Amino acid sequence: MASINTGRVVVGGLVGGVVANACDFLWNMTIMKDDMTAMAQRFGMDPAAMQSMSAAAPWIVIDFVMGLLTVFAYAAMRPRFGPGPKTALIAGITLYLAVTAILYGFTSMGMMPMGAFGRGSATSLVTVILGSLAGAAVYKEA
Amino acid sequence: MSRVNGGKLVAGGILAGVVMNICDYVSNNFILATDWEHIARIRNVDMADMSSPSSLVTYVVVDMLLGLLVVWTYAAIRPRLGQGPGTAIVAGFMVFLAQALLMASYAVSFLTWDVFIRGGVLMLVSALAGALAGGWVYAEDDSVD
Repeated sequence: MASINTGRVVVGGLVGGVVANACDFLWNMTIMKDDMTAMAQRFGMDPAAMQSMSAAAPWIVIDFVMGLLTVFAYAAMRPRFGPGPKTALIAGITLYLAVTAILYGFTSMGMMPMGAFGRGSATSLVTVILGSLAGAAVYKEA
Repeated sequence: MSRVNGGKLVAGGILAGVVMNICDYVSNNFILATDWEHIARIRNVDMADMSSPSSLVTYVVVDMLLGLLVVWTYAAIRPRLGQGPGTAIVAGFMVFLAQALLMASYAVSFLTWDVFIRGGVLMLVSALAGALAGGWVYAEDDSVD
């Protein structure tokens, strides 16, 4: 069994992170914009501060780390499911489900309206699909 | 390459879910109880909602799903990394890291960083304990990966 190609995981993760950041930027400026504003007001925070660069920076880093994790998962699952987009989707959706399960728990605790959860989950799914396909397309083994 | 053993996946996932439920119950109701009260107070969230029976049931189900997910991840990466506790820890860490990244995004807004760190450590313990328990149960007929 060949070992994981670490260099390609990093490159693929960066590509996946760029795609995820582009998607999340788009969602937060369009579909999720009103939800973000409403949640900021509800939590007693300044909506302008939430859209500042200092607030955005951790999200950008998080998307890149998630990209690396997704491509690592793809590389680790490849011997089981074979190389290609199907395995990329399995890797991405496995991690997506872990995140969405916790987010649903938060929603049930009253931290987020169900409508915002539904929209956020749907947009995140698109982000995960595109990010994992892009990242995995870069990953190669000798 | 042998296929994922569905029966053992479910059995391991249920055990992992039980272990994670126990860990999370202790974490959230004892170790982090005052932290959650503080968060509810500063973020205008009704504490009754946070500890209502429906949210508790939801979290039990969520932990069972996470248990299945951890063992699924273990089964998926086993041919690459080999069977055993080392691979179970990697699987648990992968699921934990995905959750921790979500929590970190909440630390920016909803949570506080100190709650995130304490909650993250306990979440890691829960994920690793669940993965080790579930991975211990999971087996495949074809032991040659």
